[in-house]
Amino acid sequence: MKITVEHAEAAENEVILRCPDLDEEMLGVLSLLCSGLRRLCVWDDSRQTTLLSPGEVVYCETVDDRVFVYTGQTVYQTALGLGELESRYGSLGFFRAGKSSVVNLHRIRSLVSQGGGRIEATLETGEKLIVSRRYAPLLRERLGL
Amino acid sequence: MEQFNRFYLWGVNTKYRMGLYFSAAVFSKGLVNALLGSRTVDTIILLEMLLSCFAFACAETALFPHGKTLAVGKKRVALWALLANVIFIGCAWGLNWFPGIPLWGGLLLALFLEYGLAAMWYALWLNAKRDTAVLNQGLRRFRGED
Repeated sequence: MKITVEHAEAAENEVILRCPDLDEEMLGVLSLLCSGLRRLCVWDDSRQTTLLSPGEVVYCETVDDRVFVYTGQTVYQTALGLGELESRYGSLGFFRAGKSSVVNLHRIRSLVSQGGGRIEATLETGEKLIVSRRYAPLLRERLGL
Repeated sequence: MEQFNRFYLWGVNTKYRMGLYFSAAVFSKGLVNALLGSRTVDTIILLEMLLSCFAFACAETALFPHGKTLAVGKKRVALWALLANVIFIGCAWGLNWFPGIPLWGGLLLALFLEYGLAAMWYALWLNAKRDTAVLNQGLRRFRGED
């Protein structure tokens, strides 16, 4: 990938990505740029990219090395890993619920204490997600308990 | 070493469970004997009780390994209760732990066993219910709703 920085008179900084196709590399670059704007760069099945506000995300999970982002209505993919999602958007409520999932605490409807120190989270979409025994104490800490 | 550590932890865990059930069994035996006017407890019966409690504790540890409690799946809890009944009622009847006890006394002891099992499950259920309330309160506070 060729990187060029041009100095020009402009009202605001501008980044233009020029490519024949939005491949993995370009999607990664897009994700990186958007994370600075606190927006999450995602794409759907037809590779249509969207800038999501972190508040729109209900949860994210990894399946076969791909990270899927679930909003109330749509499933997207992102180039960011779960660790990056947690560290970048942790202050906005993203929380690591397990080895393969990150959940938006603002989109949890209710929590249920489960046996063995696990916690079951019912999301706004009605889906249930288990916070594993390893991450449950961190969730309690995050909730100030 | 890892194998040994796992075995050691299993042993410690099982020992605590065995001790709990054994104390309940000795209490029942002592109470029944006292009511029947006897002041002694047969050593062989104590040994049988200890071994049956160990067998049940092993089964319990297998059903609820480290970190899993009675608050998990209903099937496991049902199997746990069934095993408790089979082992304790079976041994009490088969090994004649309570000689001279009338039928109603035996039924009362069985009822005591059921009550003990239900009480254990209820305590965990109550604990989980209270914890759930605390978690949801924390969640509401986190979201600034409280």
